[in-house]
Amino acid sequence: MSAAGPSAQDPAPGPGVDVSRLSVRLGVLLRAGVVSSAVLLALGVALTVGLDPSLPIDRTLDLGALGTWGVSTPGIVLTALGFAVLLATPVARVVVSLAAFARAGERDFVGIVAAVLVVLFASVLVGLWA
Amino acid sequence: MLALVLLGILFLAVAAGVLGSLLGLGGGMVIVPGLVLLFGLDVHLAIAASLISIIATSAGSASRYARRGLLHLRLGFFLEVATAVGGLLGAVLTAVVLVGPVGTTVLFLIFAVVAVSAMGLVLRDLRRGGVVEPAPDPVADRWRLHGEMPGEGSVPARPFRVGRVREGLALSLVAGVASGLLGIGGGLYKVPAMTGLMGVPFKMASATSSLMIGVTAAAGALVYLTHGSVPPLVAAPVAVGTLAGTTVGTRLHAVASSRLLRMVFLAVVLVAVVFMVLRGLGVTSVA
Repeated sequence: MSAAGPSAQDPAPGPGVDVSRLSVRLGVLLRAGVVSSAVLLALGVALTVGLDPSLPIDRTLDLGALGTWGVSTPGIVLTALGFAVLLATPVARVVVSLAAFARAGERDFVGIVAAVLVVLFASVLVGLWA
Repeated sequence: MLALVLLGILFLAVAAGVLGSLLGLGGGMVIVPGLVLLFGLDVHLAIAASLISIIATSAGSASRYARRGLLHLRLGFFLEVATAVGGLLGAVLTAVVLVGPVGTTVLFLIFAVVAVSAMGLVLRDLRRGGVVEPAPDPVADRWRLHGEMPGEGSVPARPFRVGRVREGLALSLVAGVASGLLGIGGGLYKVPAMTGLMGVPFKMASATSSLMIGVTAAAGALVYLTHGSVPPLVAAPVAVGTLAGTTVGTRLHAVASSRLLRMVFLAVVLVAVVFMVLRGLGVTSVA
């Protein structure tokens, strides 16, 4: 414990999470997720527009009706996959963090991080219901 | 023609990405007005597309800040509960409640109010000359939220104490609602909350905000996506463009001064306020 009091880098009573190491690991995860999603999105949109340049710019995505995009369906499927990877990236960040706090025995932060995961899951349900 | 429009959207997104990564924001304050005013997009669709892109901005920026030890993970997770709940609520309000001509006008005016309030928070921070030193807070002690700013070059590492956690949580909830409601990351509330209220150094607050806005935006974006409200031909180039913009922005972050970053923030928000008020009053798009 430093002279200024406890810090985020000090471990909890007991082992505690190595915050620096977790931070680096999360950075790698975030980068991998966002780069792969960007590739999928770029390819998907290019293919979609290439297959059907007459598409309206403001047409919305219905995940249950991807086949209704006609000839551009392969492109929109790739684009939807890109969105899925992009949205999964912060979720994966939360899951990895949850596991790290659980392994370190920090039950209070396991609860905090689990609550975030519950809210994200609720968002999916609310969108489907609304 | 469609290809040209997509290129224009891509360019807008790159500019937003640069600003977003520099300021700990998601770029939504640039993207939403830009899509509405320059490309004539419905504001609800612009908000949905912006939230998708904010996730890309967050991941791109935060991955770089992680290597530099600038992420205050414990505080970020702690505040994320509030911002995620807020993001969900805000998205429901926009997607379900604030629809039609009246709802749309209300959205524009709320955008202006939120932006002006954020400017006030940053100005208050600026007048104090930077980070406050909050009074001791047992909540911060209990949850081990105090931190240490890593050293850079000849500047040694500097521990700091975090305070006013309850106020920070409340403001984080507001930031989350603003995020889901308006397609912004909420960093315009989170960063001043962490610096002006809680005592976190600006660069760490900005970096931590960059991480947090990913989850905040995801909470809202998941609502829009499952609700069928995301325009993929807009959202995809916006996401790719903002990611490219953050690549440039985070490289500038290391050399930009905290005061300069906050001044840029004020200028950007002021421009956004002017345009959104004009739009709310019935000024048509440029496109």
